[in-house]
Amino acid sequence: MDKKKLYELWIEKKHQVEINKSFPDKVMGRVYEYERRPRWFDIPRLIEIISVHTIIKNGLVVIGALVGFIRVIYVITMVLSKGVLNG
Amino acid sequence: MIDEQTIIKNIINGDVESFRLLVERYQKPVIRMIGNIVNDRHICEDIAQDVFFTAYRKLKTFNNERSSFSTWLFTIARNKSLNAIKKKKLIAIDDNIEISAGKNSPDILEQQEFLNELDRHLHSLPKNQKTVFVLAEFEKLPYEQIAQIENVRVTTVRTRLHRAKRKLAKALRLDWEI
Repeated sequence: MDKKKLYELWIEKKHQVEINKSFPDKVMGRVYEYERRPRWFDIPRLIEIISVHTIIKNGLVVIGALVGFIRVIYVITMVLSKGVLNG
Repeated sequence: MIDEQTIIKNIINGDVESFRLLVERYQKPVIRMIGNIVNDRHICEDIAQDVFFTAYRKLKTFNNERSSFSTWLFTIARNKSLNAIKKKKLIAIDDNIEISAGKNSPDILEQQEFLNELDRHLHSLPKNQKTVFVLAEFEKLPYEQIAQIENVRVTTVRTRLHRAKRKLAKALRLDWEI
């Protein structure tokens, strides 16, 4: 058999695949197990919900920005009040 | 045959069992593609399970205006396969093709060695050339779909495939173009 034919045989063999008959059952088993998990304490699911809904994503960004802003104001107030007391 | 968009809608609306239709429809190309990228049949089914499970979890984020479901699924499979290679540094070649008749004759041994060489050189290609080669030559996907999966331009796909073929031909000292 020449190399060209062997190469074609190689391609043909690589296109063949053996599949375990229970493969879909295994996948569905994992899917049903996932569906049975408690929803609100499931972190991957929470991340998914957040990433899918733009409103939730934007809301979280706004809350984060607000918390950051309040902390900055708090720190500035602290520094100023100490400065005033020391000065 | 129920159309794919209807199946996806049904799943999103809570009909979990409909997902089985997608698994049955795509199990063959997904397992084959993973097997050809990672070159380890023992772990390729586990990776394929992961691919379908991830697809199920992220189904709501699938946008059929951006790509077809098969392209989206193949992209997940490609990424998971490359991650598996990175994690386990898979170099074992256990999937050798065997030529059936007369295993011990010198001719057959030579042919067997050539097929093993093909496997070895395929898996020593750079990752991006290997995945393009697998998708184009084994999966017979159109260049446009490969470009979407690889997230590159069609011209890049052509270049990578050409380079992969040239490297294989050079490594195997072939006197014809693959």
